[in-house]
Amino acid sequence: MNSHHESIARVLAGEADPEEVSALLERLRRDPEAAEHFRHLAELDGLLGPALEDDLRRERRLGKVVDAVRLADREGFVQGVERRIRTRQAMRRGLALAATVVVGVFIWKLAAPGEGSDPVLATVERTESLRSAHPVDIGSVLRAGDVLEFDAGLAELRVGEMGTMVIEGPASLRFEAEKRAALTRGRVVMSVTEAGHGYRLETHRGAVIDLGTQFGVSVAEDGEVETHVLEGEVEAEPYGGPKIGLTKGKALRFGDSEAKEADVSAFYTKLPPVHASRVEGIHWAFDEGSGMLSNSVPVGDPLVFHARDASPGPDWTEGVFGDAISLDGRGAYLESTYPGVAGGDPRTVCFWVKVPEDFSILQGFGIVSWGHWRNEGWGQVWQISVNPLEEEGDLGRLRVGLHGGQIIGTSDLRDGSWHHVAVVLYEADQPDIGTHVVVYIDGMFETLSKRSVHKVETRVETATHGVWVGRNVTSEADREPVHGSFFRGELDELSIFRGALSQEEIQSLIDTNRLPE
Amino acid sequence: MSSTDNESLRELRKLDPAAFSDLVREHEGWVRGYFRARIRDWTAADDLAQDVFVTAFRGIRKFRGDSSVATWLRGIALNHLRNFIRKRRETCIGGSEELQVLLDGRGGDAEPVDGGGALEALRECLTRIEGPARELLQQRYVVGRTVRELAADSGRGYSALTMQLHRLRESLAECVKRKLEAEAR
Repeated sequence: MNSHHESIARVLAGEADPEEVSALLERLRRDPEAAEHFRHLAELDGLLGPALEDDLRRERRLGKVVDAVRLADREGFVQGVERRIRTRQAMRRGLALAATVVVGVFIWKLAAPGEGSDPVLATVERTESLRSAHPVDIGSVLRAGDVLEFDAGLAELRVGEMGTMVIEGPASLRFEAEKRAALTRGRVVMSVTEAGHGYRLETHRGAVIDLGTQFGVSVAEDGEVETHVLEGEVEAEPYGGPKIGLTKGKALRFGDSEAKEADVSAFYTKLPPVHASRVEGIHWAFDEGSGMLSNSVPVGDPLVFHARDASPGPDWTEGVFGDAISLDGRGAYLESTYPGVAGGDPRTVCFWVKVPEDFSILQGFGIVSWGHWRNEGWGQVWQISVNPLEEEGDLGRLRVGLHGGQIIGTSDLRDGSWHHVAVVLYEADQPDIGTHVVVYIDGMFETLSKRSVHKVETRVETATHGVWVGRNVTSEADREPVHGSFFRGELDELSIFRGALSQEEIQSLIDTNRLPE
Repeated sequence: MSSTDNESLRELRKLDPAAFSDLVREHEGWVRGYFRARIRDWTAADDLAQDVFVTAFRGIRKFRGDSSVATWLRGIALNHLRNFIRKRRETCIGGSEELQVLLDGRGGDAEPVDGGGALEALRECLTRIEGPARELLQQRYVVGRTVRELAADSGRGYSALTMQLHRLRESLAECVKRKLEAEAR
């Protein structure tokens, strides 16, 4: 083999030195045939990667490109609106109000009913704890081309006569036609009426077409797309693959060739109901500052200090509102005669917590707990912790467990600062940890990183203790759980309500330490 | 431009990302190959390919359909390539901008290897390569290992491995050429 072949081989291997490259260039300039040969080999060298990769890699890459295009689409939309608003302002009032442009974007785009000539495709009926750069008002409407976008929280939409959608943020959903919408990210559950059969929900990996059903579609931050059929039947159309029919209880991850079992807990199917009357509850302020108990309001169920092993017991410290308690993770805990909320009854647990930066995985269970723990008693306890089990979710995030099912949040609490926590189980016929529990951290709707399905059946009748603070509900007098028995951190203003509080009520507790009048 | 292309263009001009994804699906492979042939950093090459489609999406309304979509995309790709090389000259094939120019012609007007057709032909040609040779290509071009790393792992000489890859490329280039000629007839 002559030398220019070897040089080409080394150039394409990325190993040729500058002298060899110069010599090759000279040869290619003089010899058009050699130049053509080099060109073909180099072009082929470039194509080998795309030609060799499997369908999965290819689909992932295509998904990334389409995501980038969608992002450009959103940016282009915002810039376009900014331009139009600037033009209007210039015409009417000069440039004095240019600073309001960004705030106005979605007010203008999500118009009030009656504005605009295109048909209304969807109406925002309710929101829960919505966090968005742009206001999303109840009653605002979406027409073809409009995008509903928010960072966190839930939104419920009426999609004309087609049905309803519950959307969980972070989400971006673009309405394209009467029976077509495109989900760029987020989780949507669509309940379709007869008129809406054939509704098409598109993603960058493929589309899901309703055949008379309730179904969920999720587009995760890493681009993974899944659909889960909760009722009825859908048809999934992965791009580049065959159509797949899915019936109730089945799910598909786009890119997989076979369906799997649906996870009904993976989606919020409705927004928390609004309670009509005032929610009753019990509150411990931890403001005594000394002594061995903290009184409850209403009175009668104080939290009494206890110490196990070598622990000196709970200590008093400075809290968010007055005093607070400090727990050492070595045996300090408190117990009340108050049994906690039973069965699947709605409830809200609120408190301020400070988790140390040097959090130990043996000191995460449990901040607040109650119920009767038994080895086979699945779903019969209610325990709020800082997640210490890496195999079940990110460490240091809020965890709500039942024994057999749990949810885990996304905010890392291990920063040595006070955070307000609210865990809400709202009313449902079959209350489930994955579907009917929402968490707020510092008043913000907490996106969940992990959730599993299990019915909530908190058993208090046979429990041998009331509410515990700082003790793992799975610990017993003669049993030390391998993941630790006691929580380390500080706690203030604990409340347990017999009902589901709204985000506004939780915010009021954060701001004023009391419910709104 | 075919009538199908015209229909597609009408759809594309509605600025619907979902419709645009079909265009991405059809052309992404060869656009990526275009950059990989000219830039040694394949991650940067793949990023540039993505940028081509973002630029195309933003400029779709200006595309009049006088040329094929592939030619239009290639023009965008060449612009991105030039901008990139201005900042990172050393990443050109062979570390030489002149070699890259030789691939594209002075004005970027060299007749390109028919990207889409060549890619499909190459996929067909690759089905004939199995066993250790296939694994070698997989490791080099999909996993992205260097020839020196592959030589060290296999215990084979670096030069022998370089030339084996060269012979595989030559054999595949010949196969692709025959297929494209047969299709043209």
